[in-house]
Amino acid sequence: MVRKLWASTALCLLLVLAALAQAPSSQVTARLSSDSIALDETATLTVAFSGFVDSPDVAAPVTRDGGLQFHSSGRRISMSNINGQTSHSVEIDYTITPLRTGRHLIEPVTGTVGGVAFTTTSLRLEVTDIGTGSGGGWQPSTNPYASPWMPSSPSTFPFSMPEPQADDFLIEAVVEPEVVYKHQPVFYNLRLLAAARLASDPRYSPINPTGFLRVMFDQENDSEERNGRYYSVSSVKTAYFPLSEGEYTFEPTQISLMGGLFSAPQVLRTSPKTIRVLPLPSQGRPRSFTGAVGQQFELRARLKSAEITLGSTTELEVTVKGDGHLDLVPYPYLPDWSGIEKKQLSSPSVTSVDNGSIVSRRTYNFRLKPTRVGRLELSDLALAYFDPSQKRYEVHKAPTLVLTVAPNPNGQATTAVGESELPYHERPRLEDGPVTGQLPRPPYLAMAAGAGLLLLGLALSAPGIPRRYAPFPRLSRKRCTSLPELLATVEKLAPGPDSASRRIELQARGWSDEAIVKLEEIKRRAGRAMFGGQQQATDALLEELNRELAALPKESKR
Amino acid sequence: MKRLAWLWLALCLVIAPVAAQPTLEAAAEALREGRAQEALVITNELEQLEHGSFGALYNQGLALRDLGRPARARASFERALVLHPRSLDTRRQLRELHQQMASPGRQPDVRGTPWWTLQEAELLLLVPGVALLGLALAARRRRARLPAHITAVATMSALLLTALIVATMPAERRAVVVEPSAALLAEPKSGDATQKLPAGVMLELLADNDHFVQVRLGNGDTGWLRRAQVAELTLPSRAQSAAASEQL
Repeated sequence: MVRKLWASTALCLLLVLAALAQAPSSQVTARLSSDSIALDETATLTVAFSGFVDSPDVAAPVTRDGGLQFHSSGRRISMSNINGQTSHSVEIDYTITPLRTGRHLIEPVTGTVGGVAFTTTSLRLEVTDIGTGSGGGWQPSTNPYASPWMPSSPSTFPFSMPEPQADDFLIEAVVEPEVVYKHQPVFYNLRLLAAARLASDPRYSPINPTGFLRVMFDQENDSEERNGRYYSVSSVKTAYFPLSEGEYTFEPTQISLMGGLFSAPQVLRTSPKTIRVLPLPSQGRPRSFTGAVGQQFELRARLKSAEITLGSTTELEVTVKGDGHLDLVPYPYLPDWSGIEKKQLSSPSVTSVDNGSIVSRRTYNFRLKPTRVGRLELSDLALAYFDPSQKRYEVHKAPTLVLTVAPNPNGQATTAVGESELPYHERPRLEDGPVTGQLPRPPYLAMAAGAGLLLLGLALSAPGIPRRYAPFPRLSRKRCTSLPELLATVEKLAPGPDSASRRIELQARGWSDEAIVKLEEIKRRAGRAMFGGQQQATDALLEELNRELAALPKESKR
Repeated sequence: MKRLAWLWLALCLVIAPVAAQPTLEAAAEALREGRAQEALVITNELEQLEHGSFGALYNQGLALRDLGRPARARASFERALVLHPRSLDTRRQLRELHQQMASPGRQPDVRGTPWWTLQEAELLLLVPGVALLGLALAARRRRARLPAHITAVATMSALLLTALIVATMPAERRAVVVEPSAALLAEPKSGDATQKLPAGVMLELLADNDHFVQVRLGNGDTGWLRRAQVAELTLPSRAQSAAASEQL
C-alpha cells in the first residue's frame, strides 16, 4: 500500500511539472499614465495582456463611485515567436475623463482569454480642482504615436488594387473644420486614389491620436478624374471628438501598397494636419451644462415606479439623443430635489453613424430614495448643450415628474443611498484585531523536540524487541497440602502438553537442565502417588515434594 | 454656584485628556474623510501609547499609501501581517503596492511572512512525533505491532512539514527600504556604493553599527545602509510587552 502511495504521488508530480513546462508565462497588468489629474484633464488607463495565444475579451473598466468615465481609445497588438511558441501582447488604452474631484478607485479590469478570466489589480486616480492638477491630461502639441500597428478594426481596404506604378496612386487627408470647440467633432477624411491594380490589398494604419474619441464612418467608393486620368477613390472618414482644448497635430497616415513578385512595396503618406481646439465659452454657460456639444438633442425622462413607500427606491431613466458624443456628457442636470436622495447608476452610450450623420443615444439611470412621505415633484430636469454653429448654449427641459411616497407600514429606518461602497480591503479598520505576535524565526527547539519524539516513536514501534519473561513466576509461599494442589502448582510453573514443550518453555526462561529434570521428576512422582493410592506414603511424599519444590527457585538460576 | 463652576472645570480637565486620546475609530473616520495625514498622526500616537494593534497598523498603512508613501505603507502592512498572517486584505494591499513599486531590474525581496504564526509552526512540528509516539505506546500495550505504513506516513509528514516550515520561514529581522535610490555601501561610513536600491525592497538585517545596518538582499548580496533609509519590521510595543510577559 505504501508503494502504491509513492507511485501515485510521483505520477502526480510529473503531470504537474509537465503542465507547468508547457504553460506560457502570461501576464495581465494595468497602469495609469498619471496618478493625479485636474478636473479638466484626462488620463490614460492601459490594460496589457502579454504572453497569451488568443486575443482577450476585456470588460470596460468601472469605478465604484462613478466619478470617472472611460472611453476606449485604442488597441495595440504585437506578436512574438519564441522557441516555436507564438504569443500575443495586447495593450488596450482607455481615456479617463473625470467627473468630479476626489480619490477614485478604479476596479480591477477583467479580461477573458480562452474562457479563463484574468483580473488586474485596482488602481487609484486622484482628481483635483481645476488648476491644481499634476499634469498628465494636457495633450501635447504633437501626438506621440507608437510605431504603426496592425489595425484591429476592419479599416483595411477590402478591395483589390492594381499593380503599383509610379504616380498611379495618390493619398490625401482632409481635415475639417480646422478650428473647433472642445467636444465638437473634427472630420478626418482619408482618400486613396488609385489608377492601377495591385497584387494584394494595401496595409493601412489608421491614426489614433490620444485625447480624442473616435467614430468611424463607412467606407465610400467613388471615382474622380484628375490631370487627365481616372482614379477610383476610396474614402474613410473618421470623426474625432477632442476632450480638451489646445493645438493638435494629426500624424501622417501611412498606406503600404504591396507590389508584385518583382516590385518593391510602395509606401504612401499624407502630410500632418494641425487643428485648433477652442475652449467652450464661459459667457452664457448655464448652470445645467454638463458637456454636451452639438446642434440637436432630445431629452426624455420617466420613472420606473411613480408610487412607492418610504424606505424603498425607484429608478429614474433619462434618455438623451443627439448628434454630439454622449460619452462626453457624464450626466444630465438633476437639481437637488428636496426629500430625495439620488445615486447615478451605470449608463452606457451608443454612438453610431446613421445616414451619414453621427447619432448618439444614452440612457442615464438614477436610483432615487425618498426621505419623506408625500408628493414629490421632480422638476427642472434639463440638458444644456453648446451649439457650435450658433455659438450659443441651448437648454432642453424634461416635463416635471411626480413621485408619490406612501408611509412605510413596517416603519423601517432608511439609510442613505449615497454612501460610497469601498471594497472591504479599502475600508479602514474599526477593531484592533490581533495585538500580540512574535517575529518569525526558525523554530529550532520545536524541530529538535519533534525529531526526538519521532525517533522515540520509531524505536517503540520497531519490530524484533524480544519479550522478556520472568525466569520464575512468583510462587506462593503456602505449602501444598495435597498432591492435587502440588500438581496444580507444578502445572502453573511449566504449562505444556508434554515434557519436550515444557523443556523448551523453561529453557527460554533461563532454567538450568538440572532444574528442569528435577521438576519433571517431582511431577512424575506426584502423579504416580496420586493415582497409585498409597495414602501413608502420600503424606511423606508430599512433604518431600514440597521441600524439593521450594528448593527449585534457587536451582533454576544456576 | 462657585462650587459648581469649579466642579465643572475639574470635570472638563479630567474628560478632555480622555476625550483627546487617539482612538482607532478616529483614525478610521479621518481616513474615510480623506484626511490621511491626520489618520497617520493618530495611528502613530496609538503606537506610542502602547495601543498598537493589527487594526492600527492596517490603518497606518492605508494612510501612508494615501499620502503617496508606498514604501512606508508596505512596512506598516508587513508589520500588520506579522500579527495576522492570514489577513487576505493585508496581502492584497501588499500585492498592489508591490505592483505599484515594480520596476525593471529591481532587486528581489527576502522571504515574506508565511501564512502561519510561529506558535502554529512549532505545533505542526510536534504533531507527527506525538502522534507516532502515542500510537506506538498503544500498540505495545496491546502487545501488537504498529503497521509499517503508519510509521512511514508519520515520518514523511514530519519530514515534509519540517522542510516546508524551514523553506518558508523568513529571517527574524527584516526591513523595508524607504528612501528611493538608497546606496548600498560595501563598508559602513566610508564604503563605496555597490548598487542602488529602490524604495520598497524588503531585506534582511544582519548587524548594527552605529547609524548603519548590515543588510542582505533577496539575491544574497550584502552591504550596509544608513539606518534612516530603512524601516525595520518590528512588532507594536503592546505585542512586545505581551511577548516579554509570556516569557517571564
